[in-house]
Amino acid sequence: MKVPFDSTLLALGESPTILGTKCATCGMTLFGMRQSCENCGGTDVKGVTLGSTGTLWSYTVQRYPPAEPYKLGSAKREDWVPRVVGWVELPEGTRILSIVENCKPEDAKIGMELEMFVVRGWLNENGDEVMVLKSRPKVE
Amino acid sequence: MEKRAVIAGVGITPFGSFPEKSFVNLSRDAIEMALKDAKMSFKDIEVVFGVNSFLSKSTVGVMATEGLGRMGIPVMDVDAACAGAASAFGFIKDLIESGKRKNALIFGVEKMPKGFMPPTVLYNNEWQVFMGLDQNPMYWAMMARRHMHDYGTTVEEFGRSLSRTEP
Repeated sequence: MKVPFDSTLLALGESPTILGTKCATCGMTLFGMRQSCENCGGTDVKGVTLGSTGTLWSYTVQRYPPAEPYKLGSAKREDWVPRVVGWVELPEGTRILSIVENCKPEDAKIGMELEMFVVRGWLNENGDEVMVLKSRPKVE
Repeated sequence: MEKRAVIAGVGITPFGSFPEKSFVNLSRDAIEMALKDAKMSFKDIEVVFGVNSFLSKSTVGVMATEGLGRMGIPVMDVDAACAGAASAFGFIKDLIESGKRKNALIFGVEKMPKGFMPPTVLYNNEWQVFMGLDQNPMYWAMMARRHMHDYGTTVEEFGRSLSRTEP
């Protein structure tokens, strides 16, 4: 069975949906289902679906492997390949922290167009496939 | 006249690796320097804030100061990560300017692990750790890059601000 990495952030199904919350008080759209607004504290909020394309707001190159418990591969120094990590800004203005796949560090550029996609991350303790959200350059 | 809180004395130990010194030793060294600088003794202190995030101990403030005098004053720990000292100063400033207390001691102490800070201490989202999006400096790097993009800030300018913060 496939399960989302966080059921308040991502809904699976025929086509996966990125979940968000819009605040009626301040107008901000936040990542994930929420009971109140992280920006202004307002409680007049409603669930929305976020777009799956956006632009790279900023990025960095992760040159050192992360600490355990890392689950997307080997965290050994000799196995680690530097990767691009960034904040993807969606059309709603919401920024999502993301690994940017298919993008060499020298090709990363603020403002480049990206698409979010869902991919298998790891197996959980029940043997379910945990699906995670990542981004990659948009292919025309 | 309105009361205004002032910094009466300061003390700091060098940054470095001191395996022979416990956090209590390090705290005491800095506290003694600050008291001397302020021409005070610990018995003049009416409230203590001990700031830390990574020691994983309860009552760091008490452990560091209990040997200095037990006057029945409130001694509290403050954990607000990078904002710990600023948070403590804000509270103490209000407390002193309200006239409720006259002298307060704020100290911060940390013994950091080697390498990146332990991700499970820093991040509450399991997936963030499982995906390796948990190296604290990556956030500063992304903010810095965006600052360079928005304002034309250069690497040299960031470098100059760093060199001013060296002890």
